[in-house]
Amino acid sequence: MGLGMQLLNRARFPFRARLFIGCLCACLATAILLGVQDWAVGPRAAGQGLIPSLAGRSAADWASSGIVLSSPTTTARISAAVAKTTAIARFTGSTATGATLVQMSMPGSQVVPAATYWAVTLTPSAALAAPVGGPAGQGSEPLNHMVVFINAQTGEYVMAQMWN
Amino acid sequence: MVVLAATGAFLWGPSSLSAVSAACNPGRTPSSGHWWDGWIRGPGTAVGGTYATIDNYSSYVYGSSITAVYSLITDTGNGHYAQVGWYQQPSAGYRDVFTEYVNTSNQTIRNIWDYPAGSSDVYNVEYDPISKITTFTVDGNQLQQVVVSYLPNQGEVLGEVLNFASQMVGGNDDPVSLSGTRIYYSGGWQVFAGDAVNYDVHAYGNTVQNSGTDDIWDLACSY
Repeated sequence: MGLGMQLLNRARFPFRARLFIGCLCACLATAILLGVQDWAVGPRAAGQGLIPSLAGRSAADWASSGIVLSSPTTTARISAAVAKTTAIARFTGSTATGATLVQMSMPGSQVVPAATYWAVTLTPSAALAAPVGGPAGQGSEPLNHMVVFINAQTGEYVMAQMWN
Repeated sequence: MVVLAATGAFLWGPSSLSAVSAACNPGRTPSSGHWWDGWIRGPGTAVGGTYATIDNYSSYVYGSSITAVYSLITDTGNGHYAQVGWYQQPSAGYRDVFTEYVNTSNQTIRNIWDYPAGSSDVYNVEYDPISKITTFTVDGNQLQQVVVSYLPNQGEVLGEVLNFASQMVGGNDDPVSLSGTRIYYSGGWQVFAGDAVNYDVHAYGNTVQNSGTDDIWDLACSY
Protein backbone atom coordinates (compact mmCIF):
# COMPACT_ATOMS: atom_id res chain seq x y z
CA MET A 1 0.00 0.00 0.00
CA GLY A 2 1.41 3.36 -1.00
CA LEU A 3 1.90 6.36 1.15
CA GLY A 4 -1.01 8.19 -0.48
CA MET A 5 -3.44 5.40 0.32
CA GLN A 6 -2.19 5.21 3.88
CA LEU A 7 -2.89 8.90 4.23
CA LEU A 8 -6.33 8.55 2.70
CA ASN A 9 -7.20 5.75 5.03
CA ARG A 10 -6.40 7.65 8.11
CA ALA A 11 -9.42 8.48 10.16
CA ARG A 12 -8.52 12.15 10.47
CA PHE A 13 -9.44 12.64 6.77
CA PRO A 14 -13.20 12.97 6.53
CA PHE A 15 -15.02 11.22 3.69
CA ARG A 16 -15.50 14.42 1.63
CA ALA A 17 -11.82 15.21 1.80
CA ARG A 18 -10.91 11.70 0.68
CA LEU A 19 -13.44 11.95 -2.16
CA PHE A 20 -11.95 15.27 -3.26
CA ILE A 21 -8.42 13.95 -3.21
CA GLY A 22 -9.53 10.84 -5.09
CA CYS A 23 -11.16 12.89 -7.81
CA LEU A 24 -8.08 15.08 -8.01
CA CYS A 25 -5.87 12.05 -8.49
CA ALA A 26 -8.22 10.71 -11.17
CA CYS A 27 -8.10 14.01 -13.03
CA LEU A 28 -4.33 14.10 -12.83
CA ALA A 29 -4.10 10.54 -14.13
CA THR A 30 -6.42 11.36 -17.03
CA ALA A 31 -4.42 14.45 -17.91
CA ILE A 32 -1.20 12.44 -17.87
CA LEU A 33 -2.69 9.76 -20.05
CA LEU A 34 -3.96 12.30 -22.56
CA GLY A 35 -0.58 13.89 -22.59
CA VAL A 36 1.09 10.59 -23.30
CA GLN A 37 -1.36 9.98 -26.10
CA ASP A 38 -0.51 13.35 -27.63
CA TRP A 39 3.13 12.48 -27.52
CA ALA A 40 2.40 9.20 -29.23
CA VAL A 41 0.37 10.89 -31.97
CA GLY A 42 2.89 13.65 -32.40
CA PRO A 43 5.45 11.80 -34.48
CA ARG A 44 2.77 10.33 -36.74
CA ALA A 45 1.27 13.75 -37.34
CA ALA A 46 4.70 15.12 -38.12
CA GLY A 47 5.20 12.24 -40.54
CA GLN A 48 2.27 13.33 -42.67
CA GLY A 49 4.30 16.07 -44.33
CA LEU A 50 5.13 15.97 -48.00
CA ILE A 51 7.95 13.64 -48.87
CA PRO A 52 11.02 15.43 -50.26
CA SER A 53 11.20 13.47 -53.51
CA LEU A 54 10.40 10.19 -55.21
CA ALA A 55 12.09 8.70 -58.25
CA GLY A 56 14.04 11.89 -58.82
CA ARG A 57 11.00 14.15 -58.80
CA SER A 58 10.13 16.61 -56.07
CA ALA A 59 6.83 16.57 -54.20
CA ALA A 60 5.92 19.71 -56.13
CA ASP A 61 6.56 17.92 -59.43
CA TRP A 62 4.33 15.08 -58.33
CA ALA A 63 1.64 17.47 -57.20
CA SER A 64 1.70 19.25 -60.53
CA SER A 65 0.94 15.91 -62.17
CA GLY A 66 -2.07 15.44 -59.91
CA ILE A 67 -0.48 13.15 -57.32
CA VAL A 68 -0.01 14.22 -53.70
CA LEU A 69 2.57 12.19 -51.82
CA SER A 70 3.29 12.24 -48.11
CA SER A 71 4.78 10.00 -45.46
CA PRO A 72 2.78 6.82 -44.80
CA THR A 73 0.15 6.89 -42.07
CA THR A 74 -0.23 3.13 -41.75
CA THR A 75 2.07 0.18 -41.93
CA ALA A 76 2.03 -2.11 -44.94
CA ARG A 77 0.36 -5.50 -44.89
CA ILE A 78 2.29 -6.65 -47.91
CA SER A 79 6.03 -6.52 -48.29
CA ALA A 80 8.03 -4.39 -50.68
CA ALA A 81 9.17 -7.57 -52.41
CA VAL A 82 5.58 -8.62 -53.09
CA ALA A 83 4.75 -5.14 -54.38
CA LYS A 84 7.72 -5.27 -56.76
CA THR A 85 6.67 -8.68 -58.03
CA THR A 86 3.13 -7.42 -58.64
CA ALA A 87 4.40 -4.38 -60.52
CA ILE A 88 6.72 -6.41 -62.71
CA ALA A 89 3.99 -8.94 -63.46
CA ARG A 90 1.68 -6.10 -64.49
CA PHE A 91 4.27 -4.52 -66.77
CA THR A 92 6.15 -7.43 -68.23
CA GLY A 93 9.70 -6.78 -69.33
CA SER A 94 10.21 -3.92 -66.90
CA THR A 95 12.73 -3.95 -64.05
CA ALA A 96 11.99 -2.88 -60.48
CA THR A 97 14.63 -0.61 -59.01
CA GLY A 98 13.06 0.27 -55.66
CA ALA A 99 9.95 0.52 -53.52
CA THR A 100 8.96 3.32 -51.16
CA LEU A 101 6.01 3.33 -48.79
CA VAL A 102 3.99 6.52 -49.27
CA GLN A 103 0.61 8.02 -48.59
CA MET A 104 -0.82 8.90 -51.99
CA SER A 105 -3.92 10.76 -53.06
CA MET A 106 -5.21 12.19 -56.31
CA PRO A 107 -7.57 15.04 -55.42
CA GLY A 108 -9.02 15.19 -58.92
CA SER A 109 -9.65 11.47 -59.30
CA GLN A 110 -12.79 9.45 -58.64
CA VAL A 111 -11.05 6.14 -59.27
CA VAL A 112 -7.95 6.31 -57.07
CA PRO A 113 -8.62 6.20 -53.32
CA ALA A 114 -6.30 7.98 -50.91
CA ALA A 115 -4.35 5.24 -49.14
CA THR A 116 -0.92 3.96 -48.26
CA TYR A 117 0.83 2.56 -51.32
CA TRP A 118 4.06 1.00 -52.27
CA ALA A 119 5.51 3.28 -54.95
CA VAL A 120 7.50 0.83 -57.02
CA THR A 121 10.07 2.44 -59.27
CA LEU A 122 10.42 0.66 -62.60
CA THR A 123 12.66 0.91 -65.59
CA PRO A 124 9.99 0.29 -68.22
CA SER A 125 10.52 -2.04 -71.13
CA ALA A 126 11.47 -0.35 -74.39
CA ALA A 127 8.05 -1.14 -75.82
CA LEU A 128 6.23 0.39 -72.90
CA ALA A 129 8.49 3.44 -72.95
CA ALA A 130 7.64 4.13 -76.57
CA PRO A 131 5.56 7.27 -77.01
CA VAL A 132 1.90 6.44 -77.51
CA GLY A 133 -0.51 8.65 -79.31
CA GLY A 134 -0.07 12.35 -79.44
CA PRO A 135 -1.46 14.40 -82.27
CA ALA A 136 -1.33 12.94 -85.74
CA GLY A 137 2.05 13.62 -87.27
CA GLN A 138 3.76 14.30 -83.96
CA GLY A 139 6.01 11.93 -82.07
CA SER A 140 7.55 12.39 -78.65
CA GLU A 141 10.49 11.17 -76.64
CA PRO A 142 10.44 7.77 -74.91
CA LEU A 143 9.02 7.75 -71.40
CA ASN A 144 11.89 6.15 -69.55
CA HIS A 145 10.73 6.78 -65.98
CA MET A 146 7.93 4.94 -64.26
CA VAL A 147 6.37 4.53 -60.82
CA VAL A 148 3.69 1.93 -60.15
CA PHE A 149 1.37 2.33 -57.15
CA ILE A 150 0.44 -0.88 -55.34
CA ASN A 151 -2.03 -0.69 -52.45
CA ALA A 152 0.01 -1.57 -49.36
CA GLN A 153 -2.99 -3.15 -47.63
CA THR A 154 -4.57 -5.18 -50.43
CA GLY A 155 -1.66 -5.64 -52.83
CA GLU A 156 -3.76 -4.38 -55.73
CA TYR A 157 -2.32 -2.41 -58.61
CA VAL A 158 -4.09 0.94 -58.87
CA MET A 159 -2.27 3.10 -61.41
CA ALA A 160 1.12 3.98 -62.83
CA GLN A 161 2.76 7.14 -64.01
CA MET A 162 5.43 7.47 -66.69
CA TRP A 163 7.36 10.50 -67.85
CA ASN A 164 10.32 11.48 -70.03
CA MET B 1 -17.90 25.87 -67.00
CA VAL B 2 -16.68 23.51 -69.65
CA VAL B 3 -16.65 20.66 -67.20
CA LEU B 4 -20.23 21.33 -66.24
CA ALA B 5 -21.24 21.49 -69.85
CA ALA B 6 -19.68 18.12 -70.43
CA THR B 7 -21.95 16.34 -68.05
CA GLY B 8 -24.33 16.15 -70.93
CA ALA B 9 -21.83 13.95 -72.65
CA PHE B 10 -22.25 11.26 -70.08
CA LEU B 11 -25.92 10.98 -70.89
CA TRP B 12 -24.98 9.58 -74.25
CA GLY B 13 -23.73 6.46 -72.59
CA PRO B 14 -21.90 3.65 -74.31
CA SER B 15 -22.59 2.89 -77.93
CA SER B 16 -24.89 0.02 -78.74
CA LEU B 17 -22.16 -1.38 -80.93
CA SER B 18 -20.76 -4.57 -79.53
CA ALA B 19 -17.10 -5.08 -79.01
CA VAL B 20 -15.23 -6.68 -81.83
CA SER B 21 -12.23 -8.77 -81.00
CA ALA B 22 -10.56 -10.81 -83.66
CA ALA B 23 -6.86 -10.20 -84.05
CA CYS B 24 -5.52 -10.69 -87.56
CA ASN B 25 -1.98 -10.48 -88.83
CA PRO B 26 -2.11 -8.16 -91.83
CA GLY B 27 1.19 -9.64 -93.11
CA ARG B 28 2.99 -6.38 -93.61
CA THR B 29 6.74 -5.85 -93.33
CA PRO B 30 7.73 -4.65 -89.86
CA SER B 31 8.74 -1.03 -89.60
CA SER B 32 8.70 1.20 -86.53
CA GLY B 33 6.99 4.56 -86.68
CA HIS B 34 3.57 6.14 -86.30
CA TRP B 35 0.54 5.46 -88.44
CA TRP B 36 -2.79 7.14 -87.70
CA ASP B 37 -6.34 6.49 -88.85
CA GLY B 38 -9.32 8.53 -87.63
CA TRP B 39 -10.52 12.08 -87.86
CA ILE B 40 -9.61 15.62 -86.89
CA ARG B 41 -11.48 18.87 -86.39
CA GLY B 42 -9.89 22.30 -86.15
CA PRO B 43 -12.78 24.78 -85.88
CA GLY B 44 -10.52 27.81 -86.12
CA THR B 45 -11.09 28.88 -82.54
CA ALA B 46 -10.29 27.73 -78.99
CA VAL B 47 -11.37 24.16 -78.24
CA GLY B 48 -12.58 23.10 -74.79
CA GLY B 49 -12.81 19.37 -75.22
CA THR B 50 -13.50 16.30 -77.31
CA TYR B 51 -15.24 13.06 -76.56
CA ALA B 52 -16.22 9.94 -78.44
CA THR B 53 -17.56 6.48 -77.85
CA ILE B 54 -14.71 4.19 -78.87
CA ASP B 55 -15.11 0.47 -79.40
CA ASN B 56 -12.87 -1.86 -77.53
CA TYR B 57 -11.00 -4.18 -79.89
CA SER B 58 -8.38 -6.86 -79.60
CA SER B 59 -6.08 -6.31 -82.56
CA TYR B 60 -2.90 -7.98 -83.73
CA VAL B 61 0.00 -5.97 -82.35
CA TYR B 62 3.40 -6.76 -83.82
CA GLY B 63 6.21 -7.79 -81.47
CA SER B 64 6.25 -5.67 -78.37
CA SER B 65 4.96 -2.49 -79.96
CA ILE B 66 1.81 -0.63 -78.98
CA THR B 67 -1.52 0.15 -80.61
CA ALA B 68 -3.82 2.84 -79.22
CA VAL B 69 -7.12 4.63 -79.81
CA TYR B 70 -7.96 7.91 -78.09
CA SER B 71 -9.72 11.25 -77.90
CA LEU B 72 -7.35 14.20 -77.94
CA ILE B 73 -7.18 17.97 -77.86
CA THR B 74 -4.08 19.79 -78.97
CA ASP B 75 -2.55 23.20 -79.35
CA THR B 76 -1.20 22.95 -82.85
CA GLY B 77 0.93 26.02 -82.27
CA ASN B 78 3.29 24.44 -79.75
CA GLY B 79 2.39 20.77 -79.81
CA HIS B 80 0.89 20.56 -76.34
CA TYR B 81 -1.84 17.98 -76.08
CA ALA B 82 -3.98 15.95 -73.71
CA GLN B 83 -5.57 12.62 -74.54
CA VAL B 84 -7.46 9.70 -73.05
CA GLY B 85 -8.06 6.29 -74.58
CA TRP B 86 -6.97 2.70 -74.48
CA TYR B 87 -3.80 1.04 -75.66
CA GLN B 88 -2.78 -2.53 -76.24
CA GLN B 89 0.63 -4.03 -75.74
CA PRO B 90 0.82 -7.76 -76.35
CA SER B 91 3.87 -8.42 -74.23
CA ALA B 92 2.05 -6.99 -71.22
CA GLY B 93 -1.10 -8.91 -72.06
CA TYR B 94 -3.34 -5.98 -71.25
CA ARG B 95 -5.46 -3.36 -72.94
CA ASP B 96 -5.13 -0.47 -70.56
CA VAL B 97 -6.93 2.83 -70.25
CA PHE B 98 -4.38 5.61 -70.38
CA THR B 99 -4.17 9.37 -70.19
CA GLU B 100 -1.31 11.43 -71.51
CA TYR B 101 -0.50 15.11 -71.71
CA VAL B 102 2.37 17.53 -72.16
CA ASN B 103 2.88 19.85 -69.22
CA THR B 104 4.11 23.41 -69.33
CA SER B 105 7.72 22.18 -69.03
CA ASN B 106 7.25 20.23 -72.27
CA GLN B 107 7.39 17.01 -70.31
CA THR B 108 5.15 14.16 -71.41
CA ILE B 109 3.22 12.55 -68.56
CA ARG B 110 1.35 9.28 -69.05
CA ASN B 111 -0.88 7.61 -66.50
CA ILE B 112 -2.00 4.02 -66.87
CA TRP B 113 -5.17 3.14 -64.99
CA ASP B 114 -6.61 -0.02 -63.56
CA TYR B 115 -9.93 0.68 -65.22
CA PRO B 116 -12.10 -2.12 -66.60
CA ALA B 117 -12.81 -1.49 -70.26
CA GLY B 118 -16.27 -2.30 -71.53
CA SER B 119 -17.32 -3.24 -75.04
CA SER B 120 -17.20 0.46 -75.80
CA ASP B 121 -16.52 3.44 -73.60
CA VAL B 122 -16.90 7.21 -73.78
CA TYR B 123 -13.47 8.83 -73.62
CA ASN B 124 -13.63 12.50 -72.77
CA VAL B 125 -10.89 15.11 -72.41
CA GLU B 126 -11.75 18.69 -71.53
CA TYR B 127 -9.92 21.92 -70.90
CA ASP B 128 -11.16 24.93 -68.98
CA PRO B 129 -9.21 27.98 -70.17
CA ILE B 130 -10.09 29.95 -67.04
CA SER B 131 -8.94 27.48 -64.39
CA LYS B 132 -6.38 25.86 -66.77
CA ILE B 133 -7.69 22.49 -65.61
CA THR B 134 -7.64 19.53 -67.99
CA THR B 135 -10.08 16.78 -66.99
CA PHE B 136 -9.93 13.20 -68.20
CA THR B 137 -12.97 10.94 -67.86
CA VAL B 138 -14.15 7.53 -69.03
CA ASP B 139 -17.89 6.86 -69.06
CA GLY B 140 -18.31 9.83 -66.75
CA ASN B 141 -15.79 8.55 -64.22
CA GLN B 142 -13.22 11.21 -63.61
CA LEU B 143 -9.76 9.70 -63.85
CA GLN B 144 -7.75 12.80 -63.21
CA GLN B 145 -7.47 16.57 -63.28
CA VAL B 146 -4.27 18.47 -63.96
CA VAL B 147 -3.46 22.12 -64.33
CA VAL B 148 -1.70 22.85 -67.61
CA SER B 149 -1.51 26.14 -69.42
CA TYR B 150 -2.03 25.81 -73.15
CA LEU B 151 -4.60 26.78 -75.71
CA PRO B 152 -6.14 23.81 -77.56
CA ASN B 153 -7.47 24.61 -80.99
CA GLN B 154 -8.04 21.14 -82.43
CA GLY B 155 -9.81 17.92 -81.52
CA GLU B 156 -8.80 14.50 -82.74
CA VAL B 157 -10.09 10.96 -82.37
CA LEU B 158 -7.58 8.50 -83.74
CA GLY B 159 -6.37 4.97 -83.93
CA GLU B 160 -2.59 4.59 -84.00
CA VAL B 161 -0.12 1.78 -84.54
CA LEU B 162 3.58 2.03 -83.73
CA ASN B 163 4.62 -0.67 -86.16
CA PHE B 164 3.46 -1.05 -89.75
CA ALA B 165 3.23 -4.82 -89.24
CA SER B 166 0.52 -4.28 -86.61
CA GLN B 167 -3.15 -4.36 -87.43
CA MET B 168 -4.97 -1.06 -87.37
CA VAL B 169 -7.93 -1.60 -85.05
CA GLY B 170 -10.93 -3.01 -86.89
CA GLY B 171 -11.49 -5.22 -89.91
CA ASN B 172 -13.41 -4.97 -93.18
CA ASP B 173 -16.52 -6.56 -91.67
CA ASP B 174 -16.08 -5.10 -88.20
CA PRO B 175 -14.67 -1.59 -88.25
CA VAL B 176 -13.94 0.19 -85.01
CA SER B 177 -16.46 2.95 -84.66
CA LEU B 178 -15.57 6.37 -83.27
CA SER B 179 -19.14 7.37 -82.64
CA GLY B 180 -21.05 10.09 -80.82
CA THR B 181 -18.04 12.32 -81.35
CA ARG B 182 -18.37 15.88 -80.15
CA ILE B 183 -16.12 18.88 -79.79
CA TYR B 184 -16.52 21.88 -77.50
CA TYR B 185 -16.04 25.37 -78.90
CA SER B 186 -17.89 28.68 -79.09
CA GLY B 187 -19.53 28.01 -75.74
CA GLY B 188 -21.06 24.60 -76.37
CA TRP B 189 -20.68 21.02 -77.54
CA GLN B 190 -20.87 20.73 -81.32
CA VAL B 191 -21.07 17.78 -83.65
CA PHE B 192 -17.55 16.82 -84.60
CA ALA B 193 -17.92 16.94 -88.39
CA GLY B 194 -14.22 16.30 -88.79
CA ASP B 195 -11.92 15.49 -91.66
CA ALA B 196 -10.72 11.93 -92.12
CA VAL B 197 -7.04 11.27 -91.51
CA ASN B 198 -5.55 8.14 -93.01
CA TYR B 199 -1.79 7.73 -93.05
CA ASP B 200 -1.85 4.85 -95.54
CA VAL B 201 -4.91 4.50 -97.72
CA HIS B 202 -3.51 1.24 -99.12
CA ALA B 203 -3.40 -0.31 -95.65
CA TYR B 204 -6.28 1.26 -93.70
CA GLY B 205 -9.93 2.02 -94.28
CA ASN B 206 -11.67 5.16 -93.09
CA THR B 207 -15.27 6.12 -93.67
CA VAL B 208 -16.95 9.16 -92.17
CA GLN B 209 -20.46 7.81 -91.63
CA ASN B 210 -21.99 11.07 -90.48
CA SER B 211 -21.09 14.24 -88.58
CA GLY B 212 -20.61 12.26 -85.36
CA THR B 213 -19.24 8.90 -86.49
CA ASP B 214 -16.07 7.77 -88.20
CA ASP B 215 -15.25 4.10 -88.85
CA ILE B 216 -11.69 2.85 -89.11
CA TRP B 217 -10.25 -0.57 -89.92
CA ASP B 218 -7.39 -2.51 -91.44
CA LEU B 219 -7.92 -3.35 -95.11
CA ALA B 220 -5.98 -6.61 -94.80
CA CYS B 221 -8.30 -8.01 -92.14
CA SER B 222 -11.83 -9.31 -92.49
CA TYR B 223 -12.72 -9.04 -88.80
